[in-house]
Amino acid sequence: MNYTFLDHTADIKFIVQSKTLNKAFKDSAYALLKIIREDKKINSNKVKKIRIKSNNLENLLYNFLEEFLFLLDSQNFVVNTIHSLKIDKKNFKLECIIKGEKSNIINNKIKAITYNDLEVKKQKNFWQITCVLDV
Amino acid sequence: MEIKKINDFVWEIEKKGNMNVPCRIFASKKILDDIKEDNSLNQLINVSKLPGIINYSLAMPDIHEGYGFCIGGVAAFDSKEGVVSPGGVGFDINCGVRVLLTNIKEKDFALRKQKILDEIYRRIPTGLGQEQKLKLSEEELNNYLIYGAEHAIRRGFGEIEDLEYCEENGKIENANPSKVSLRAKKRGKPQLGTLGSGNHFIEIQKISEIYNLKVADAFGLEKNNICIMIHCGSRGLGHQIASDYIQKMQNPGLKDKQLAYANLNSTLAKDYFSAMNCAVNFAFANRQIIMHEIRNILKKEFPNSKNVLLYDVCHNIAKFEEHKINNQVQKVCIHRKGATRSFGPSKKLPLKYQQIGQPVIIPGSMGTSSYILVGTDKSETLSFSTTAHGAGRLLSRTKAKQILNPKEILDDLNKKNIQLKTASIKNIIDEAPEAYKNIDEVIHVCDTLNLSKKVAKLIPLAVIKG
Repeated sequence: MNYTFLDHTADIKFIVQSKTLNKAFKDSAYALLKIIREDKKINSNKVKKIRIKSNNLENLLYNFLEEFLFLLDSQNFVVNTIHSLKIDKKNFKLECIIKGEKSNIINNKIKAITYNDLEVKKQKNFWQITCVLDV
Repeated sequence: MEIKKINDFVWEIEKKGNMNVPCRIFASKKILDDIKEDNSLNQLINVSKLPGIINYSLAMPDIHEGYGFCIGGVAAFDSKEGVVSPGGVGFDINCGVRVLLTNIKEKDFALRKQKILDEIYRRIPTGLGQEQKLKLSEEELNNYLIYGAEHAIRRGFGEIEDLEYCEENGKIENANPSKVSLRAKKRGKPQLGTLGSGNHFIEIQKISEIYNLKVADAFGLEKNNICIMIHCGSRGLGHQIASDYIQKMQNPGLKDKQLAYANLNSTLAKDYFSAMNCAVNFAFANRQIIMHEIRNILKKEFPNSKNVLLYDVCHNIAKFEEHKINNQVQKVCIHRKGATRSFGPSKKLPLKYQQIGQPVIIPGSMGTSSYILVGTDKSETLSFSTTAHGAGRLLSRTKAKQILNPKEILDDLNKKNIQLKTASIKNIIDEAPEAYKNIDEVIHVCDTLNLSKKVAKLIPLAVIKG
């Protein structure tokens, strides 16, 4: 997992630097999940498929990460692992498999994904994502 | 960046470049020095560039960096030329606070403190996974979105008298559930009646000091009486509505996407209001339901006690209000993001407050004092009848984790005899008072400037957090 948490006064900011775009998206989700799970153990009892479509890479990331909050709030579903993540860069489509479970030991403190410093950028040898989460 | 001193507590960033108005910051020198550490002032300047903004882009003394608008940011817009910006309301639409006053004395409460605390913690879900008391159909959810606290009372969660002591009478008009996405409704449905986490809390407090006897009497505040403070918002429903509309309002060339806006006359703006008002009502209903549960618990332990809602105020909202600007009464769209309305004596208030002014509730951070203040006429000229909402963060969560020690914080709470019940130990560091500005300093600025005047101090006896 290639994420680091940075300083941000009211919220939580992370930065991800990964070799491929797919991995950068995956690592971003794991950064979000680390905050949500607070080191509590989650099992992979249930499998779901996620399909997101958007109009640019930043919005695609935004909607992808927001899906985890949606699953949490609407179904108490906490994601443990992410698999087979594929991004169609031309059409800004993403799909992946997620495994997790319904949990009553997690309290979601993340209100939203924000657009603050939201960036999906190709650097020389890696993809970099920065994102601020509203807590 | 040049900051001009107007007086000891008022500072100005002059209008230049593509700013439409100057910025005004209400702060002491010490608070101002802290503010310069984050991005708040840049955000304040960005807001001053929005179309139709009137007089100043304002910052309350608890200002800190947000997204789009800073938290503690206030701006009023012309109702024709101006705009509405979801970032100027916040993701937690109608995050707000209410205080339930009781005639239970601290010494009587002390004997039952643990039991009541445990019962509140048991009965009021703090968030995920706990048994949902209210299994809502879509139709029932829509009722809450349209009628807010009024619907909660219709369903048995309180008395009709409660409504008067709530901003907007607990039900803001012009809420249309058809403008709320299915996603938002799905997020909100399981969460009605829950506290949430982060900086949301229920505090059992005692009134420890009275500063203004006349107003305290009118408000029904008596020293050493127990009161309950409830601080929470519109949960996942509000967060999703904010997110949905920020995405819909994309302004080309706008550097900070979070500042996305729509002209007040546009369909998009009207749709946002229709949806935002649903979240406003959801939050009113939420605080009403939680308060009612607590009332039941108190009645069980103290069957002869009385209690009454002091007031419920919003911290995150945009709405239309009339204000006197250059001697003319004008309808404006005011954005209060992490800020509290602060009306002076007015017919718009409940009868018993009309000659006195609106109760203002400013919670401190975990384990520190909170304050009850009263709104003023003077605040209309200074800040469109607005005052601060809390202590404002000082340390980032990352920094807090690096330098604060949970054991020390818990020891400190124990020393003050404050009991904490929380679903997450991590909260202790995140929400430690050291991570926040000094509430007393914030209150001092508000009081000196007459944004709102001190009436009483409340100290916590027990804290429940999600």
